[in-house]
Amino acid sequence: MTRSSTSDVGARLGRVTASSTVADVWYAWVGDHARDVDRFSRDYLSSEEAARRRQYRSREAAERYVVTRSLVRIVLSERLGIPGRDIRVNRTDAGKPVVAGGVHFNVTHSADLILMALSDQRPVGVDVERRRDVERVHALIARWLTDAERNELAQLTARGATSSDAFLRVWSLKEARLKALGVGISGAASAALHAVDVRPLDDLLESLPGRPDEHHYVGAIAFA
Amino acid sequence: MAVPAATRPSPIRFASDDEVRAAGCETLVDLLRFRAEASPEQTVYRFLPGDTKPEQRITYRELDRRAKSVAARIAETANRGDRALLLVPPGLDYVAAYFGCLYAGVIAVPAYPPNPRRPDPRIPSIAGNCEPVVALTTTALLAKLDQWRGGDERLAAIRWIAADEDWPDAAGAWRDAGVRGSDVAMLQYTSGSTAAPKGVMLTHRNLLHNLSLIRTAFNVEHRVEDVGVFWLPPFHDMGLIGGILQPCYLGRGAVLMSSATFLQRPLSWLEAMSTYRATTSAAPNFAFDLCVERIKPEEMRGLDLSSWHTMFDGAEPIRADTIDRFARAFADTGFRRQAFFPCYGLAEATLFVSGGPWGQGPSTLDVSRSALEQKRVAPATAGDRLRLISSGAPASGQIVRIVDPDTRLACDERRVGEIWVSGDSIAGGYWNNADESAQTFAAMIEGDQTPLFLRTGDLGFIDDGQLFVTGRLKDLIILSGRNYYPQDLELAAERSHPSLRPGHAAAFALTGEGRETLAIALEVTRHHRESEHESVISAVRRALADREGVLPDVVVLVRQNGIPRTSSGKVQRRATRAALLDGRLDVVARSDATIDDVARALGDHADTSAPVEAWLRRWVADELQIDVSSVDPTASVREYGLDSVTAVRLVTELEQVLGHRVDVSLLWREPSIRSLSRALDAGGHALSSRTGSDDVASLRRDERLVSPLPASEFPEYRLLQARLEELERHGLENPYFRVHEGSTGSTAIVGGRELVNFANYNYLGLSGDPRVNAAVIDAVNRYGTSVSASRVVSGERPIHQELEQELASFIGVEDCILYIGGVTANVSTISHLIGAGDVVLCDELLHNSAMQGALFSGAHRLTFPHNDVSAVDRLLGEVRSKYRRALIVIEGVYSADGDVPDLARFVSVKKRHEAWLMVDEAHSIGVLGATGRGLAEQAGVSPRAVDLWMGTLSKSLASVGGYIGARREIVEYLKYTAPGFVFSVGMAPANVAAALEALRILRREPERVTRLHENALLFLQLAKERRLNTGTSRGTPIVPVILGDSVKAVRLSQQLFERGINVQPMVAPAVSETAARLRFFVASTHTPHQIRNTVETVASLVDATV
Repeated sequence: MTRSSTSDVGARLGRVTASSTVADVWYAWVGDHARDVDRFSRDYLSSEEAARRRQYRSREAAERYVVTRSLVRIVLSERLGIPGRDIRVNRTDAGKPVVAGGVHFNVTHSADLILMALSDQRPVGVDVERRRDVERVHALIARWLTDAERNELAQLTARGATSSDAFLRVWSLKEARLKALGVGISGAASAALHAVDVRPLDDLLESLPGRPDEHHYVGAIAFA
Repeated sequence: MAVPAATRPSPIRFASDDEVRAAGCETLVDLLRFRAEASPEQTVYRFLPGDTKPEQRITYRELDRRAKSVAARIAETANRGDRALLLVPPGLDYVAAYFGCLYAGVIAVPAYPPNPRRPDPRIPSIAGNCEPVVALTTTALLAKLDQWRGGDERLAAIRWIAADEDWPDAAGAWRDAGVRGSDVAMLQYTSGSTAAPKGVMLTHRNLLHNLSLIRTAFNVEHRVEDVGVFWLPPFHDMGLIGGILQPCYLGRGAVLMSSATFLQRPLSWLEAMSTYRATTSAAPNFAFDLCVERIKPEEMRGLDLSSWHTMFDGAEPIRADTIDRFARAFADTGFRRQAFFPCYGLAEATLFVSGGPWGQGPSTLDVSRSALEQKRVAPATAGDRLRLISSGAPASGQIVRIVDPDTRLACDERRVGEIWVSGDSIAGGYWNNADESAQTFAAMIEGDQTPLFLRTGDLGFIDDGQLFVTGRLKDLIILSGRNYYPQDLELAAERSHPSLRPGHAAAFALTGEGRETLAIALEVTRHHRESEHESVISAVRRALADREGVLPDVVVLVRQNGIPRTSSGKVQRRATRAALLDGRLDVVARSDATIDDVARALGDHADTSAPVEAWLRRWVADELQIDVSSVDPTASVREYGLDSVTAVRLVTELEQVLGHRVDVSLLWREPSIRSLSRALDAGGHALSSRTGSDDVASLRRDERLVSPLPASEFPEYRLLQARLEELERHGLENPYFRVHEGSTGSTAIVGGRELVNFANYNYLGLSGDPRVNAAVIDAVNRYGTSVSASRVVSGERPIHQELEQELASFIGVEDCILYIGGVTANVSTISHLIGAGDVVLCDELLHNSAMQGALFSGAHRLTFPHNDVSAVDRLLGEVRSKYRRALIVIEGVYSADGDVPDLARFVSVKKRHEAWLMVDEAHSIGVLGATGRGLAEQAGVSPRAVDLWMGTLSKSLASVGGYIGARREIVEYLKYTAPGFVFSVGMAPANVAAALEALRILRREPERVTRLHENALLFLQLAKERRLNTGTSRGTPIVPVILGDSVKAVRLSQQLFERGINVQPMVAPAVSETAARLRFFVASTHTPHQIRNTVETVASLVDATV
């Protein structure tokens, strides 16, 4: 009964290579599926996921959750050759979702966009951020970025980027690294963090089809 | 009616058209400088501060000097063309600050001065749009807005200047900025929306051009004298251009007042019109309705409105029934309906577009209603008639066209279209908003390349040279003279509850009972259940009240897809309105506002949860733009779908609030907002492992440096010094802070000498009682000297509850809460139980602490004449319906006069108006009533008829502290939430024990109260026999001897002191000079001999000085 077709939820966006590691990236727009969430949740989600969906307190968050999990299960199902609902997604102690079978994946969302990265080679982390004015951006920069990241940010602003823009770029690189390692923001030594291979997703994101969106996105992918 | 010559402004020299032109005024700077040169001593503005305070006035010369002074200070930071945010309350400071901006060549950006308790989010949004370099405000506001300014990036970078601080020397530093006519003089923000603020750019040329149009339309050339009275807010075009700039342009006078003054007492407007023989004013419809409603015939008697010849308002068409009612009600004052000057205008066209002819009153046109709905103009027929009021003739000097908004073709005469305007008054566009500017300001009529037109967004037609406005393309809603954009209201409402469908709401105005009311229709989702109707409706009301400051009269919930939309999916507000009125709308629930609904809607403003939890819920609500009541504390933050940047921002702000580091993973680990709050409250868990010195330093970096205040720059201190020096000059010793050695009661020891003491509140002689002392020592031995924590946390001791219960049973109420001070009890309780949207009525002689509580609450504060229960009845009759809660605050015994209120009547008034009654029993507990149970016992009224009993423990009860006695739920609520209780250490064991033992003695020995009553009566009778002026004192142990002269009072106190009698003077400013007095506090422990001797001594000294 499972219609495991990527045309149902999202589509493949492209392939990224960093330090001879390859990953494929999929995307989906949550808003395209507002009407499908009941069906998706029936067709693709595990029973725990379906229960979790009902815990969300805002409709947007619940819809995003369903579309994200559906995308994950459809893509993994194609790669692993088992029905989506039968895939067991486990979490590491630090909370990173993983699957067995030699496949590494990671998902991210911002606003209406969901991205998923998949690699056969190394653990992967992906992050996307809708470009926007970030409230209290200077407080965030001071509180959360390392000296190296602050230097990166300073170079971006020196080239004319706004503080918010520069912060989101640096943040997405940081998040992708943290997620590749599968640790929280206070969990990674800065040395380990900078040993991770990371690259921005600008090219892929510029070719994002399907949405005449005035907001652009920035993102990054990293391999541990 | 004769007007005293002194109050009339001096005749004003007529400034001819030529004179203005001759001065070559290209800018408003030129204009004011010319005026200051040509007529330096002429008063240009008077400001009436209200409350019978004297008028303030300013001459052209002085205004010029102050403008220079402000400009010089602005120029220290800002360059020509920079923006200056103007956040100054109405008054002469405002005018000086506005001109100061122009003098500095910076662009003035007027906005409503923010309410420090709830700063308007529009101000940061305006600042984000126009990026001001400086902001002008007042000293008072500056201090109160500290946190707000620091907390918002868009405000923190601005340099703030207190414009009310006059620096006389600064004017000399002013340099002419070389301002030109084409420079932008000001930005007038029009949009009510925080999302897309629209600042109309008005150049000096725009302003001067429009002022000249108005002068022509007002027929000014043919008159010599014009005086305007204006109370419209000077932050908007009408109040600023019409009320402030126009009089300066004409070289004539204006009397200004704040809209608050008018709203509090509408009569004050008409009184000013009458007193100054004013000729000109501006006001929207509701102002006239308010005058008719509020002003009583007997109050009209003294008014002379016969000079009034020009009354304008272009923001909304004047309504015929408003004119009729006002003209009828005020016929005897000489008011003429011809004074109504019909006009039309908008900020994008500076102010004025069309108006007049002057002196004829508004003309009307009857048209066919059905044709008009089809956008056609046709003659009325029987049964198909709509009466329209003219908006006057388009001013010569600009072009007004009626254009089909869709085809952009000019309409013929018989068609309704959008009103388009072109000319030198039209603004250049919206600041920093090219898209909106292009759409609004650069419209071209199809087939014509020039000129470019302003699209007003208003619909209308021109008939026989007169403009008629029929509606609004943009569906603007005007309520009580304020503009609301339906989009804003819909947005706030539809996010208030998950059952509502975003983007599926329509807000619109209904006209009913002579005023516009607000209705909002919202679609509910399929999952919406009937049982939720009520909670959805109240969430909508609350969101609109909270976010937009409006209360919808009608809320309807509509089935999915029930709201009409265009083919492109846009909500059709007018079609929705029509469907609602015709009963065609698929309504699932409807609620028409009643006071109860509104009260319920506003009911749970106050958050009963712990502070961290409340903070978190508010944060999540603000972030997701939903109502705080829909943030479930048992849900986890994760369930609200915060992304990583939002999560770290939440943590960053939490750290700032808590003052320590927070582990981010708590956000995801804790299963609910409540458990997260507890973890954070507990502190230890929340502290991350890396709270090194480095972190502490980075937290400190944010702290503001506060420079020490030099006393010489602190005028309040200088005033105090002057007062103390005054005493010295009269050879009087400072009577304050006199040291009393030993315990004081009916006697006191000062400087080793025993005095008969009438200067303390130890009414029952229980302070110093050995049994009380012993109880205190016992308590200290058992519990120590402090409870070392708030009672909520770990400061609770058994004797706290014992005292609360015994107090409650003594007073006759369900429960009691102790505060560490009487002042804290009043301030904290009042400011906590009421807030914005409520009204509090205070007796004018109320103790400072209750007044402060009322002030801090943010509720509307009304003061009634001392003990005037009829005035309370009347006031509530007028205003009760406008407010959620009403609280009346009175005292049991007023300590200035020693008189008491008529409790039974207050109770009946409070019941009639569904108000709460609070009685401050500081001087009546232990004092009034046969057994000292206070005012209720004395008045024979059930103590439960009063909602809040407040009392102090420092007087009859021989301790320190305050209490509130009330219903159990109220006390419980206060114990968990009142800041003065929750965030304060619990009352010290010694103090609790003292009050407890004193209370027990009082219950056992009611004869102390009897003796107190006998002594008080004896003192009063003897004083009256000796013809001392004891004022209204009656039946209380407080007996004033009124001397009417502060120096005399202090001297008499001194002489009595020398004769062994200690009594304190009460002088200005605590009471008025004519009420300066000595105040005798009689105690149960005074002997009849002491009392006789005292009265005799006082009387002979008073006789000797006469």
